[in-house]
Parts: sequence; structure tokens; C-alpha cells
Amino acid sequence: MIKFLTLLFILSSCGLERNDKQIKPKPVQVVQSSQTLDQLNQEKQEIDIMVAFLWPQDLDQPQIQKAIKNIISIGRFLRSQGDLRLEKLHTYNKYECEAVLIGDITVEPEIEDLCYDLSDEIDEMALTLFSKVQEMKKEVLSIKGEWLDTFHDVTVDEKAYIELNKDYIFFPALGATTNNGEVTPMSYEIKNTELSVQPEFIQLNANWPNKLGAGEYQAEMAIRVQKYSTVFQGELNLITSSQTRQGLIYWQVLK
Amino acid sequence: MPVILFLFIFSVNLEASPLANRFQMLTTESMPKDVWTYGVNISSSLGVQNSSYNSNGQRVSNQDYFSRSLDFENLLQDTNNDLDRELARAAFDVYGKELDESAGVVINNVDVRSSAQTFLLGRGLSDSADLFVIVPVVTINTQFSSRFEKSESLNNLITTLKAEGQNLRAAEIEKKTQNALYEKLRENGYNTDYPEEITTLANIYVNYRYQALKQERLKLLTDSYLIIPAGESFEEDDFLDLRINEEQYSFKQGLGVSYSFVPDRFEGLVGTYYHKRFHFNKRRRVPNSDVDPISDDSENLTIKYGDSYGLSSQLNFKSGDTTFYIGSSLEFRDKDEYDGDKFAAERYDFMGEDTNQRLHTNYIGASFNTIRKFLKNEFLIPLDFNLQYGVTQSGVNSFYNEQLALNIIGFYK
Repeated sequence: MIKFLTLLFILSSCGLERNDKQIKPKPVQVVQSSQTLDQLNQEKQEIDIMVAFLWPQDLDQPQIQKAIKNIISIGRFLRSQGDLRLEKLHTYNKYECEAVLIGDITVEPEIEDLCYDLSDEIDEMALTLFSKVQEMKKEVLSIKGEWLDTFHDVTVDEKAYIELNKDYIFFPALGATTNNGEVTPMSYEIKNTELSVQPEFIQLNANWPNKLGAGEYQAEMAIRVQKYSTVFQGELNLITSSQTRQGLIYWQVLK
Repeated sequence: MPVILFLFIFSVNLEASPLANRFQMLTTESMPKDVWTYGVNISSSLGVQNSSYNSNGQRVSNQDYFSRSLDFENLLQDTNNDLDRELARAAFDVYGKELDESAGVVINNVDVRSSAQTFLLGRGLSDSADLFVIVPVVTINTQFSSRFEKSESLNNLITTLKAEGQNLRAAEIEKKTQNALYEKLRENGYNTDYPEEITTLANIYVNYRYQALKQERLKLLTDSYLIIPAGESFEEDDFLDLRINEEQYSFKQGLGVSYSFVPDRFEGLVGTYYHKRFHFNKRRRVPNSDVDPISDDSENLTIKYGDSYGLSSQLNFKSGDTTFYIGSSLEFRDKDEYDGDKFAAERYDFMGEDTNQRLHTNYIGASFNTIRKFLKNEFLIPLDFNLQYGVTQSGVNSFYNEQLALNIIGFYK
């Protein structure tokens, strides 16, 4: 009898119990965004500097770290020098320097001198910037990445532009095909872009089908409104049924 | 019958593989033939166990014990995607961050409260040999929290990234660091649940005792355990692994000697044991670094929990039906061993780091039994009550713990 009671006592006490608790995400801290959709210029804005490429699939290559570092460094240079150039361009436009330099309007000699200086500086900076873009292209190709030609690389009739009030982006060239030495740029009209205000920045998401092969491009970008320019930069992924290739996209427009 | 006035106490490791403070009492007595015994031991830690002994033997808060400093190299090791890792490595260099520079501290806090009920059923096989089955049931309450505190250097990097318009990258770092643990568990496919309270078997012990020597003053007892794995077992996707289940059959051999300085009054005892554990195979996550056990990689590993061994001494003072005792034990446990062939050898070594243990425990208690009164028809049933307070004195890689335990044993023939 004792044996039976003891066994019963043991079994009744051995019921397994488990109350689980879950590690839950903390709510994202609400930071008052310093960027609002109103700050974005809703009119048509020409794209100035533009870079787009896909990183290599094979990372096991010599000198890849050096090349990646150089690409990141050039990216930082393009952003800072691009800002500076667009600041000068803003001043150039403010004083109507183009009209001053061709003699359509007459201004005080100091302003005229300033316009000549600004013109030289802007041209010089443009040359530097575009040579840096070419250096970046060389590095991307050296590690077997895929460079997407833009209006800087191929001849196109129109410049790229963006109209955020119409959810519309036009790329006259984003990649190109070459047949018998003839380069045909691929133009894209991107609609249905998605804008959302995030803490401290504005996010732009856009998808468009790849005209040069299978899959679609997916861009996830942060928009940073600065004093004289607006910077769009983020990730560009080429998604096919078999893989996702990561890349980078970046452009700047004058406010 | 007087032989069972001060009989025996079952002394099992209630929390399985790791060493922990528990009810313990040395004895060299055995039961008379054909006597049955049944009993229960109820123990509970006093207050929340919120401090631990670290690998240097210092007593630190559980927060300090479970927290880890991370450098930028650790952040790289933490990145699953090869391309992201190479890009981050290059970016750290371009932004002037040395890989051994501090990126922050993961602050984990684990508070554990445990209680146990141990059930016993035994029989005297002969006047010198006994057999027992011991079934411990443990309840463990766990409170767990984790946060990441960014270093000034990482904060500067985030500020610079934002200033340069790299808001997506900055936001990604902030999101990951704000919910560091949750994001990591989710990314690596772990369960985000953990047992806040769990009541489970903690293995089953089959104990054979043999009194090899019985003289007027000197006694010697061998104490053999077969430990059958039972109870809650944690799987590869669980991030909190309480190691209750031994996972494999193991064997523990003890030896106890007593000498009665003054018969029926003063008695001194010493005991020793060796717990041999064997290999088993189980799927486990294989960490990428020694600071972070969370990993995307898993493999069916050959695992061997470390053997443990110990030495204890005890002094008994008997007064009528009551025995007062004081004792001390020193135990060691070897490192766990993990072996596989899919990943770099050092990654398996990470799993065994800081699993070696040392635990020095002191205990004091009193037992009172009713057998003499029962035989005189002054008490209803023959019972032995034993109340014990145990406290950890020092240790390595083990919890600090104070525990109160009550042991009640009945006899029947």
C-alpha cells in the first residue's frame, strides 16, 4: 500500500509544466524627424551625379578588400564634393551667372568676377567628380562587379530627372547593351515609388523590371534634404528567381 | 531497529549537469533487510540568485557575469552575409575604426530562482545493501533581459553615417542595437520564447549502497548511482539552455567513511565521489565567436559533458533523537567537450569555454526522528525530519546560492 501511495505521490507531482516568456522587440524610439516630405522639392529635378552598380558574386578574389575600401572612399568623396559643387552651383544660379557670362545682363564687376570664378570652380569640380566616378567604375569592374552605365557613361538626349509629386523617376540610361560596337542605353520610367517618413530621414522604395535580363530591380533609398542639394542613396538589389545581387545606387539633385 | 535512527540521506545533484548548491549529507549507515523507505526532500533557494562566481572565482552580479564587451571585430563575426561582412570590414577601415576598438557592451541579466522536490523509494536488500530510486523534480524561474549599450566610437560612426546621408545603414545599426537580442534571435532562426517558469524531472537516479565495513567506531560505505537522463531537454533553436537533462546515461561512484569519536555522540565523516559522463550526439548551434553563442550554423555534434568529482567532510553531534551536523564540500567539474567536422576547430572550443566549475559549499542542519517514539507507541509513524541550510562559499563559473531544504523520510516493514 505504501509503495502504491508513494508511486502515486511521485507521479502526481511530476507533471511537467512550462510557462514561456517571449523576448519581444522594444518599440522603436520615436525620434522627431528632421526631414519632412514638404522639404522635398516637388518639381522636376535633374539628377546631377549618379552612380549605380552591383557588387561581385565571388568575394574570394585578390585585392577585393582594397578595391571595396577604395569604392567606399570614393563614395564619401562624391558625397562631400558633390555637396560643395551643388552649393557653388546654387550661388551661380542665384546671381544668374550664365546670363552674366554670355553678356545678356550687366552686373557689378565684383559679381561678374565671382561668376567667372564660380564657373571655373564648378567646371573643375565636375571634372574631378566625373573622373572619380570613372575610377570607381574601374574598381567595380576590377573585382567583377557589374557597373550600370548612366548618362555620364553613354550618350543620351535627355538627363535623368525625378518628379516626386508624380511618383516618377526617369533614367535615360541605367545599363546599356552593345551590338556591333553600337551602344544602346536602357531607359527606365519608374512609377509608383513609395515615400515614407522615417525617424531622421525619408525613405524611397521603388521596383522596376530589368530590361537587360531576368528579374527586377529593387531600390531602397534614404533621402537626405541638405541646404543646397538633396541626396538619394541606398541599396539596389537585382532579384531573380535564383538569387539576389546586392548593389548600390546614389544620386544628387540641386534644390 | 536503532540502526535507522540516523539512517541516510539522499544527496543528489538536483540540477543535473552543472554543479549547484543542493541538499547534501554524509552517512555510512544502511537499512535493515526488507525495510522500505519513502521520502521527500523540498528545497528552495533563499531569495533571487542574482550573483555568480566568474571564471576567476570572483563573485560578481549575474549582470556582470553574463555581459560581454564587443569590439568591431565581433560585429563582423556577427554578420552572417559574406558580402555584408566584407563591406562592413572595409567601411570600418574607411571610417577609421580599428577592429579591436570597443563597439559596446551587451548587458544580459539573468535572475534564477529554483526549488526542488525530490522523491525517494528504497528497500533494504540485506543488512548491508540498499537500493533506492530517486526522482528529483525541479522548478526553475528565470527572468532574462538583454540590452546593448553602444560605445562612443559606434555612436560616432552612426552620427557620421547620418551626416553623410547613409541613413539606411545608420538606421540598420540602430535597429540592431536597440533590439540586439531579439534581432539576432530572429535573424538566426531561434525561438524567442524562453521558460519563465519550468517544472520538470531532473533525471532519475538508481542508487545502490553497500556498507563494506562495519566496526564499532569505523564504517565504510560505497555509494553507486546510475543516472538515467529524463526531464526537459533543450533543443538547438532554444537560446536559453538550462541543462537540466543529462542527455546520456552516466555513472557516479561515491565512498564514505565515518569514525565515531564518542559512540552515539560525536562522529566525523569524509566522503568522495566521481561522476563519469559519456559522449552523446545532439544537434547544436556552433558559435562564431567566444563572446556570442548565437549562431546560424548548426551541426550534429559529439558532446561530452565534463566529469565531476568532489570531497566532503562532516561532523555530527547526537543528542537523543536529534542530530546536529555541520559540513563542507568541495566539488569540481571538467570542461564540456564538443566535437564536429563542419566548421573551424576553434568554434567547437568556444562552446566549452567557461563550463569548467568549482563549488565550495558549507551546510548546517539538524535531523530529528520519531522511530524511538514510534517503537514506544508515542508517535504514529516512524519518520525522520531533517532541516538544512546550505550556502556557497566560493566557486568558479557557478551561481551563488543560499538554500533551505527540508527532508522527510518514512519507514515501513
